[in-house]
Amino acid sequence: MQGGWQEGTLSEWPTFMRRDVVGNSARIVLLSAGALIFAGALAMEACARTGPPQAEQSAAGKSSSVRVTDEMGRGVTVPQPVRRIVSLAPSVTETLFALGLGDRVVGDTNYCDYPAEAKSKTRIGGPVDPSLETIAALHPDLVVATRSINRQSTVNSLEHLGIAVYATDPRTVEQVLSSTERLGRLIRGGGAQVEGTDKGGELTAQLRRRLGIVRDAVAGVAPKSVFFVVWQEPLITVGRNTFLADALRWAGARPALAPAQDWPNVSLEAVIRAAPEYLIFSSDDRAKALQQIAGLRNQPGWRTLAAMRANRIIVLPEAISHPSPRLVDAIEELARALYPERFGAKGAALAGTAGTRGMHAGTFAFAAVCAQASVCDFVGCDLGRGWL
Amino acid sequence: MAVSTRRLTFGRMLLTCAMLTGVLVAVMVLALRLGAVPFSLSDLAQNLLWLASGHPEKLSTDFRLIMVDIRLPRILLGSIVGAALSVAGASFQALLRNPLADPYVLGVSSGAALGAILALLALPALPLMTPLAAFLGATATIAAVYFLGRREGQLDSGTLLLAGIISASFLSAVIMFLMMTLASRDVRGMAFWLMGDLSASLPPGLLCILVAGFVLAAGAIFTTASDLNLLLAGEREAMHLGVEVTRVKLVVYVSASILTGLAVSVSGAIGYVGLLVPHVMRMLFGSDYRVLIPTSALGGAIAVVLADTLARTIVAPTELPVGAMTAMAGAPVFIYLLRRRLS
Repeated sequence: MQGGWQEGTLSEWPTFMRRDVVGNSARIVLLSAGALIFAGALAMEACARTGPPQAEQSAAGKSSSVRVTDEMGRGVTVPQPVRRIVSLAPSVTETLFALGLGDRVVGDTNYCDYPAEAKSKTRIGGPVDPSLETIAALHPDLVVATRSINRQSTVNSLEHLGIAVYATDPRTVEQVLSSTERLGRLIRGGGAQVEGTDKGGELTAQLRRRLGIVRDAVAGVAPKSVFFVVWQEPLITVGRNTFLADALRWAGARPALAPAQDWPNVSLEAVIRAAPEYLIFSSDDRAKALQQIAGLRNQPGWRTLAAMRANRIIVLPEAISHPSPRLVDAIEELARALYPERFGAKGAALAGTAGTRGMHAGTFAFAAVCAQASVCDFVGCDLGRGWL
Repeated sequence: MAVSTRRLTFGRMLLTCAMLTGVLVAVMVLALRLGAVPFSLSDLAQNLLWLASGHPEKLSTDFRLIMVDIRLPRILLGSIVGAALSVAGASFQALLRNPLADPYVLGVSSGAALGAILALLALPALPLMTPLAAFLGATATIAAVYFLGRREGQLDSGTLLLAGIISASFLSAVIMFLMMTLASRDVRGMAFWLMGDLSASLPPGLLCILVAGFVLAAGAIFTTASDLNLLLAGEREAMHLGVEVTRVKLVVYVSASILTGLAVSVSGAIGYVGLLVPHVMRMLFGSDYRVLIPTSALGGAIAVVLADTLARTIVAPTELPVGAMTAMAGAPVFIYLLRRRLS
């Protein structure tokens, strides 16, 4: 035992701390009782203090509001009209802009880069680690979250703060469209009825027409088996219950591997055995993606894949990985690349718009954060990679 | 050190605590001032004065929303979590007579995380279920480690520590298995949780429960402080000096588990605090548990509030997990103090 003070004379310590005067149990009971009274008083004080403002808030609420059930089954009271929106995901931001509601978006995430105007909004942090303070300071009427990328605890925290949060959870292409429609209706205050002039209805009707054309074009084909590379190291593909797997089906493709997990790690062996006809990558920086693919071509395992040897490789824009209206663009592009003869066009996928960020960047940043933390060397990072 | 030649009296202990409380208050004011949304110091002082003098209606809306509803509860949560982890760490170090003992090393944090994940899977709709299950997971782990660590009816320090480490890695493996294999998406929030995260805003009732639990458990440990001093010399020696060894160990063990369970259930596993803070306090104020317990509590609060302030501000508006900050900042401080003491 180093340094420190020496034992004081007994009389200098209060009775309850003296072993010679009070027995163990007596001391514990004494202090516990004291602590209990103190804690009780503190708790009552705290609860009394925090009680009234909340009641006040709900009483003083907006002039009108609607009660809706969001896609996670949560009941949400949304003030009307919705003038200030905070988006918690790139796909949500894209959807809001596509609905013509971009001017009502007052805050979005660091990774929202489409359309270009989205970059000029107040940044509230990343989708997984937003700053509640920044969101609160924007005084949003509505915060829109999406289950695939945001955290439940973020949604709960905002709820405690009395901020309306609407969560989307599209699992299929059709749900991406209906979710878009519902969001448009909610924000424009049309209630349950879709109006003819409603921009949301118009937008999705148009998207449905385009999807119909794709469906007619690929009607009757035997779906081509594809392997979608979400992430290379480790190898991650799409699970069967994701909007992405559904998007592949719309384009006349069939995932060669489709496990039940949403973004599963798979082994290269399984890919070789499944022998996909096409390999699909997604990147907005086509040149860089092609360079990476060229690197893969010489690697053991990859080089034995028939799709790799025959150069049946498709690079799609990152839009394919966002459950937003631009997903339809990506479906069209994939269908054209897989069945050029049915579209009478040039085929091969075109380079997307500039910018390589997006959700992948989000995933990456998250993995980097994980790597810094002591605990998560072996738990968190695998999890981080599993996301999209 | 100057203090080392002086006798430890109750008055001096109080003086030390008052000094540390001053530091804590200063740190809290700093933490209140800094954040993604800036407030001027005069604005802060004015509003705090209104708040303290019972005129909450005069507060500006922004101040109420950001300070009262978000920043202040977070700072209070951070200080309680820090204090709880440090006191638990100091207690485990005395119980096991092992400087490496810490709630994290003993597997308690992993047990809590597993409990939370199971609650998320089974009853995702109930909001209070997750912290409760984390607490149960923590106490169940502690109980398991306690019984695994016994040899021939005696609590053996080495065996106990090994049991803790093994439990920790086993539970982490189970968590990883669940995360990788289950189709459910909501499990992934756990990653943040496993490295310590204070960003969630809690209902006020929960904060009250937390404070009450902390005061009770830390108080119980404090009453055994003079016994812990004797225990440090060895169990047999302590027994000869009249310490009811078994009872004291049980009280401290249960209380420290409660503290850890409470902390982990609301903030996840913030590492290094339980290990570092008691050591730093020992270097500064000596290893007498009567002063070590209160100073560890205050020091832990200071450390976590500081670390969380850094986590909130250095890359604002993005927030880093506080566990990353405690690990990055804590290790160099520890090495500095260690070197200084050796020279």
